[in-house]
Amino acid sequence: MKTFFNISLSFLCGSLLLCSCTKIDEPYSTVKPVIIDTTTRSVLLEDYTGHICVNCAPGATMANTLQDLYHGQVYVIAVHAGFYAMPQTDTTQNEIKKYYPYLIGDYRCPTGNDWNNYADFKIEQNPSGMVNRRLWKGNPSFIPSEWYSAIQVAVVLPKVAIMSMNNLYNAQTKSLTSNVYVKFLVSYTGPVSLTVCMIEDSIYGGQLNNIKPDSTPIIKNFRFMHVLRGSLISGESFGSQIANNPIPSDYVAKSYPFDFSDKSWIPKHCSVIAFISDANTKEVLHVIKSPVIK
Amino acid sequence: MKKLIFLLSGVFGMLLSAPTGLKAQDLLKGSEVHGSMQADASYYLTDPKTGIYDTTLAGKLIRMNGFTEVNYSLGNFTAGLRFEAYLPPLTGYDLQYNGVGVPYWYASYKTDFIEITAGNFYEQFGYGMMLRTYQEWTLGYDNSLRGLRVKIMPSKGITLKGVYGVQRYYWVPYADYNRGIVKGFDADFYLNDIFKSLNDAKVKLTLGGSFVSDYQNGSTKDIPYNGKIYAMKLPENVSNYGGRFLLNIGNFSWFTEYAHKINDPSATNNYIYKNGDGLFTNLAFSKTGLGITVMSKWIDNMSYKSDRSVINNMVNINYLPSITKEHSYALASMYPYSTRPNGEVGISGTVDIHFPKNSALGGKTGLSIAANFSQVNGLKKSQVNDSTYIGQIGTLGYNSSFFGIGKDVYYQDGNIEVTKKFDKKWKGIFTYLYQTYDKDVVEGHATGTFGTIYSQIGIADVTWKITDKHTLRWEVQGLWTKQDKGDWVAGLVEFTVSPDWFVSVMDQYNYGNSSASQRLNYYTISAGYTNHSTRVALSYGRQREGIICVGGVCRFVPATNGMTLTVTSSF
Repeated sequence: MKTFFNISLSFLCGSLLLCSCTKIDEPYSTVKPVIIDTTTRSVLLEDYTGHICVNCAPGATMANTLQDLYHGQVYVIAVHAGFYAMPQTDTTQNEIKKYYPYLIGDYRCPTGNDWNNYADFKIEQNPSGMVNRRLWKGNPSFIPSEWYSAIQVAVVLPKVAIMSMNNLYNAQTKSLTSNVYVKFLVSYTGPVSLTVCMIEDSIYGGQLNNIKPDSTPIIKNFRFMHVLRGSLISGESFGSQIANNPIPSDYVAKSYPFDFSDKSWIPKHCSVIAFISDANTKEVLHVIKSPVIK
Repeated sequence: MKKLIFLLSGVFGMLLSAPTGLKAQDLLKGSEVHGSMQADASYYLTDPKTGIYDTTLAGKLIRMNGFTEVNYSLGNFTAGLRFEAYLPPLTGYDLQYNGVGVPYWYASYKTDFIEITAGNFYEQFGYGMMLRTYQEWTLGYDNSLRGLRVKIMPSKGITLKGVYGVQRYYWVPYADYNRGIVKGFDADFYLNDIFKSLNDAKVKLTLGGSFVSDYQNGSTKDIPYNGKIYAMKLPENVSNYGGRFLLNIGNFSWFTEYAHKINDPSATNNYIYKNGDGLFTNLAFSKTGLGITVMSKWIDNMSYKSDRSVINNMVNINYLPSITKEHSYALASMYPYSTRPNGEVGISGTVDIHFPKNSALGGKTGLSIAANFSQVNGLKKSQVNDSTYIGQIGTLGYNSSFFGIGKDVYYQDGNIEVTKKFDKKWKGIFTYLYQTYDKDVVEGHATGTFGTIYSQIGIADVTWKITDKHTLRWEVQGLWTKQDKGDWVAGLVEFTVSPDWFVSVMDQYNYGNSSASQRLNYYTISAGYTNHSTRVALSYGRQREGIICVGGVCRFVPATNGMTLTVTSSF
């Protein structure tokens, strides 16, 4: 009798837990509209990537999708840095030989390397992304499937400042002057930095791949977008300080010259991205983007 | 610190609540303190030949992983804690471990009827396909539960267990449902003890069953896909349940466990809604001089985590069994198998034979032969419908049949090991292995990136016992393959002065690399000293990149060059 009681007790406990099931029926998902609100904060999505990282092609697709969905409120910088961004020029390596010369491209730059190596960003895998350099679930950088959730939180935050940009490009001298304006809307405690970067779209080259359903090992003519080319502020990968404890209506105007003549970049594919950030925590407070040639 | 105070107050609370008239030393009489510690510290050097530059090291030339665990017991009461420090973590360990703290602490009370544990605990239901929490220092793996565990033994032969808690995720504290809450119940019935009529039966039978449920907050998750945002419906409670039996008849033993998991879309399975299934079976025969084991497993969409967005080894609730042999020799473990939670089917068999002394094959000193074969294939999958590709996000994912074996061979390992003691001074272990390793699948690359590696490996391990205190051991290993990095040869010489000292020199040479610049020597010089339960070891050299696996769970190890100091101790 006691044995019967014990066994019954066991099954009773188990059956109570059986209530803890959530069975989902089709349809498993519904299409959801995206609300863009330019009265709130804009968002910088940094995609740390590399052309020999097989999961980076889907990561780039995710970044493009998010920028398109949040047109005018989310801006992407693709940071090629680290092991997976190294150009593959050693044709004697078995695994690389068959893809030569598609992976010889070098899309790295000193600014991207500095960001990638900055310990607090914890960029330890590719693809890995940061959303306004804010913590998400305790981590500054995280995988693409988390980017959208982090963006949803970031885009509803109130604006700290408004920004505008005016790019003046001289085609004859191949020189650019980028004028950036920042006006604070609220008081902010702490130092604020301004970072101004160049990015380039539509660079074609080989990208190892794992995009379903085809999973072709390499996309030989992959279109790289938002590729970080460097900082317009020489030697300042994390920008220069423009304010300390700013108050409403504080106004900053900065001008940055840039010379394309010694660059192989295509100006009409390039854009300038400027963002203000907390100089201590590196959290991005606002971001703006403007093409070099309109 | 609060946790430490809590623990200490628990101990002193027990002491104070004891009957008056007793002195503290009476109460402490019989109490015991045990513990262990380990520190691994490395000094890293740049090594351009293996791709280690100043930028790779980023100024962090010295790194250290260390822990100290202390356990206190007094009668039925035990308490303990583990302090960990990663300052910063050694290369190859997750940077999210960077920091110091006490991630593990507990207090426990145990009688013949009940055992109650509060705090962190490790637990396993059956073989672990429904729940297993454990810690593996070499992998940087710790999925302990923090909460409450109750174990009841109501009568002889019956064990009931209940767990309730949240899992460790590096140093991130649990708050606001930032990861799932795990609940589980397990029952074990040893029928020969329960029923008196079976007490002396030759057939021994144990039946068990488990039910685990994981609550994750949020019934929807928005996922961008194909240029749109899809609001995915998510199961807030995901259950994983099943049963098992262990049958012993004479020299035979047969264990089988089956687990079924309901829809559990996650980053690991690309957010598909298919149910999961797992079956593991192990049939063993043993008698003096002979052991035979046959194992098989079928894993179909069985990743089970308390945070569906995590894709690395953290917050695993369950453990998926490994049936492939773990090799300890350097070249034999170059291509280890890592369990594929999204789907695999495998079988393995092992035969151990010992020919005794003075037998025809055993000769004067005896002979042991161990042969093992294992193979793991992918699952046989088919499309749910014509418009849905296999594994498509937000769908059922795919169809599969029970034990449907796919054509793709993920891993194959056939090996034979002969151990022969020639006389009192000489002993040899000779091993041959043939391995097939689908690098793309096992390491997560796109199909066709590296392809499948076919390798043959030969190893000779000879020990010469010079005197009772002095031993010289050397290994010669060779790995031959036309794929990946080509052929390798390795050698080791180790001199031991028992029981205190050892010194060894090892080199692995990638002489067959198709790139002349990569035909590198990976040399290591090591020395160690042991004093009772304390061991200090120092090594210097170059480590090749690779993967280390324990129980089918693996960690990538990057190439390094430098010096490593390891100190272990227990008390």
